[in-house]
Amino acid sequence: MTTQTAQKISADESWRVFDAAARRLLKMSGEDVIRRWDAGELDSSRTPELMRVLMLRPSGR
Amino acid sequence: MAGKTPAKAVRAFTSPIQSALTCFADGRVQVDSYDPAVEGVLQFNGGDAVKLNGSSRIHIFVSMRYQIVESGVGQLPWKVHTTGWAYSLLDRHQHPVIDFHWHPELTPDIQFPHLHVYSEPDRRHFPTGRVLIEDVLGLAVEMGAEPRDLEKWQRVSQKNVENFKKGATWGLPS
Repeated sequence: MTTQTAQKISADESWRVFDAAARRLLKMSGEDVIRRWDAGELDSSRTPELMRVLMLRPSGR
Repeated sequence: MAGKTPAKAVRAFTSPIQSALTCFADGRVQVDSYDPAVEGVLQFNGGDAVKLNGSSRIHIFVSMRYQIVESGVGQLPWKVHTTGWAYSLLDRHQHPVIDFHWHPELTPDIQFPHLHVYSEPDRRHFPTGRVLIEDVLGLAVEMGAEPRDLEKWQRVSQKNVENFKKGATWGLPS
């Protein structure tokens, strides 16, 4: 077992984490998730993975 | 979870989470803000689910949101408030089994901490109290996850919960 410490990542890296999760779990880009969520087009009750992705959305994006 | 600087407060916040998760899995806790003006995102393993130790191959996903605020305490003037969480336990095929959620900013109509159980026919919101990562990992153990070192896990879990009680402003565990 290795000893790990938490790591600070940049805003750009945080965006890449969010975008990768969106593509992996929802098969759409991070930009598309934000646009569709903000437009009320995505229903979290139908997609368990959606909240996992949205919780990774960087602030201000 | 207080510190002399915002960065030190965040490190005090993340260190027990990393310690608990490391008892079960490889992966790193990452945060994206030391700025009190910006709500931060914490995630484990690059925002991807990771397999917990043990033959049951339970997976976990961890994300939290946090805000750095002034503590009002002279020696440690900054502290971290948790503003949301999403913990998922998934089966060996990474299908969700149970989600623990608190995301008041995302769902104004669901302001309370809750859980989803995927064996239920629809996606009900079962209210919960405050849920710590140690609680979720404890459930994972019941589901077959195995700490790499049981004594260490018990020590880490107990210490984390005791320390949490000292600084928490709500949802104290019994």
